[in-house]
Amino acid sequence: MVTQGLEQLATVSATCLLHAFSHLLVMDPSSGVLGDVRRRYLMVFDPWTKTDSLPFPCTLCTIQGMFDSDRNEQWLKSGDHKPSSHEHTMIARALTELAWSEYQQIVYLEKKAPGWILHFAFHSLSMDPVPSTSVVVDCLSIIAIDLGCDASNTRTAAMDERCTWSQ
Amino acid sequence: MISRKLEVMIEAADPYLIHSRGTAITAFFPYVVWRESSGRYEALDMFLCAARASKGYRFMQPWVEPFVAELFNEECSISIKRAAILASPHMPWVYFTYGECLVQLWAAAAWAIPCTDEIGQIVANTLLQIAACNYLLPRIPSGVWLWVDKRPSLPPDCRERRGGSAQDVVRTVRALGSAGTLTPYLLLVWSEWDYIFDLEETYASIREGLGGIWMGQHREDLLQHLDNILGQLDLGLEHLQRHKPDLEEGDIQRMKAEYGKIKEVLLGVDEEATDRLIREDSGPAILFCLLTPADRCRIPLDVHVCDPSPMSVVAGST
Repeated sequence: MVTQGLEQLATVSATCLLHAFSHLLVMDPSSGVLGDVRRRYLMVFDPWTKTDSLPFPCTLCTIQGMFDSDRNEQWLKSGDHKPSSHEHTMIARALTELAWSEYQQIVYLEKKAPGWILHFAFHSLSMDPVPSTSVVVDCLSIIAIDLGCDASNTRTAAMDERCTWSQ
Repeated sequence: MISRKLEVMIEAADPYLIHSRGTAITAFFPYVVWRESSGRYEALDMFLCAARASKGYRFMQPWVEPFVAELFNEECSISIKRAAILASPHMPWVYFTYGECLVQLWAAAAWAIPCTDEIGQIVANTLLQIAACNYLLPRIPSGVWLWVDKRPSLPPDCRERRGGSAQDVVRTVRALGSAGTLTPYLLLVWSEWDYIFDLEETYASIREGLGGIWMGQHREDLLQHLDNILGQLDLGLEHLQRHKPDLEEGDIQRMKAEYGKIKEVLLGVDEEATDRLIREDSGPAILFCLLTPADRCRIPLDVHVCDPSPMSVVAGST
């Protein structure tokens, strides 16, 4: 529930929350703070929490996805929500970082980007009209990460990809 | 970067490697279609090469379904429909939630695009894959089976061929009641690269679907095809393994026995039909059978219909 009149503030807060969580997941995945926040978050929001009426449902669903693998494809599967351009850009950026981080953390098993983040890339690239250049580049970066592209900065590589195929 | 990586993976020819990246390559598909719609074909070519190199059944992820449904939509341009049709053999048809509707859309899209050898092969391949799904088989519009009339050929390593010769599929094609469809269907699924999924049903189809006295040409086409298959099998394992490395000697022996038996059945049916033709003393009918298909077409339809009973069959059964 968002207090009337504070929708804009709530949207900014949700975006900040997404960034904070994604940065924490990337920088210190074994953080005790993160574990505590995840536990509290899952206690407050059950799997059936409806986010449809909020002005930032996709951001919230993405945060949920970061914490609970069972919920991470909810909004992608339903296809009902279309994030605003700004929201989409923020989510794509956060998920690209997360994909890279998770890929690097895999040591003993086959290195892979999380399936739900690849699904996000597919979902975003299949939108009509095509999302902003920044989102497209991030989605291509996610794909490049999973393919094991040998580049320290896959985002630059994805930008090159887009430029190469756009000529 | 992605294109270069895909090239390297395709060149490595490691199906497991590519299959393990199926999710990422699937995620790439909308971008490929987007490039295709703006006249850039290299991305689609690369995607299809990767999908083929994976040798994976249902290479793409089930979540492509809503997107694919949009591509098959009649409002989409021909180039987009073509891209979707080319990718259709790699789609996980059996996992689609609304597969029944998608089959209808796919069928309409397949007819809407210009037919080439490649498209014919792709459509036949997908058709057999869809037909092998029990719940989708009844949903296939009967008109789609006419694709096999174009006599497409399938590559040696084609899993759909065996699934597409299953009992229910053969029965469905036979139930269409057209030897003109049954024959090219059998030509499609009978091959030196695979044994037959259900022999009994195949025999029944030959007896019931191709036993008519007017179906000599169909039987002749099939006998010629069987001779060709048996000839290829006689060339031995080494020759066949050049095109399909996983074949074993046991497969070849089994196929020889199966196709040999089918040939026997077909010859038996042909002999019975010839006997019947002679017994019925149908002079005009025998003459008609001796004509080439081109000559038969020149005979006006009213002649077929007005002639005595054997000739009246001609109009309905050829």
